[in-house]
Amino acid sequence: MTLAEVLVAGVIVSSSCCASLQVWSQTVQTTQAARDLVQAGERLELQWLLSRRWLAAAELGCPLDPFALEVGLDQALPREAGISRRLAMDPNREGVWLTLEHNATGLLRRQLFTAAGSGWCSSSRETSS
Amino acid sequence: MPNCLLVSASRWHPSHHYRPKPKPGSLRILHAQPNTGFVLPLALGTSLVLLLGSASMHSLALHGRLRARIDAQQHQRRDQLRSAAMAFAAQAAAPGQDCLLAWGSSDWDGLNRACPTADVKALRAGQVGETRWRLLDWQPNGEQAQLQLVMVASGSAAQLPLRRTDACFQLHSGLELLPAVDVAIASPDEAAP
Repeated sequence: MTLAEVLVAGVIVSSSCCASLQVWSQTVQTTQAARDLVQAGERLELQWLLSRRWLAAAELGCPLDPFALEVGLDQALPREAGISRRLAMDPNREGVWLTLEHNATGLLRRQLFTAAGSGWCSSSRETSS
Repeated sequence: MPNCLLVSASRWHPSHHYRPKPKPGSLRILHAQPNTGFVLPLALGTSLVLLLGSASMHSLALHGRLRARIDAQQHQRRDQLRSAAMAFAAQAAAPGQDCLLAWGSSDWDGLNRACPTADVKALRAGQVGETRWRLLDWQPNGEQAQLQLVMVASGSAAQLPLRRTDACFQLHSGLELLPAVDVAIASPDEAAP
């Protein structure tokens, strides 16, 4: 064991320790980001299912009124912090677009609901789950 | 130099285990130890373990994040397909379409005379939001029907159940993803912008 050998070994070990620490730091950040994404997806999915269920069971008249729909949805399902919800009329007036967005991660859920597809405007309406 | 350590450069050999006891007052000479040169391999091994361990953990974390993103994209794809099915249901509720919807989509081309007011094109393809969809198959079965459609841009396809109400076909829960369809090959005119 010579001094040069010890010095070279020290440099190698310290360099690899330094690089390993950096990689571990990135690993922690990536894991946290993945966990945030999963949690955001679960929260969004829950809100999405509740909103869809409410829309499917809603007593609506034709033509559709997205403003009245949004008011009713807000009363039935209070907005959750960190998640924005919008109901907008389709440009072709085929139905309404429900949009849910998780503000922190930018995750987005968006679907068109038409009166025919949702069974809103039939005389004997049935609700889908 | 009483505290000085002299190390011989000679190579170690098993026969060197035996060393005569030095006489009192004589200079002690230490022969080379069998562990000469072990520090560098040890350092390299340690470094390798550290780097490989951290790299594998990082790849696991990246895989977890990728899976979360894929899950999110899968949800968005399903939303798009449900939106397209809703648009199809809206087109199916138009006057005159009932005549066609009583038959499977493979029979529609032969029903031009029987259903003069029906709009086959509106049922075969359409646009929902920014994306175009195309009908793959429509199979009515009593009060229920199975709808298969594909998103032109992504090629993602699905089968969805619908149930007839008084005036229209209502979309029900239960979406089954189908293998992706290459729309450019299946129907080049639909894939063209």
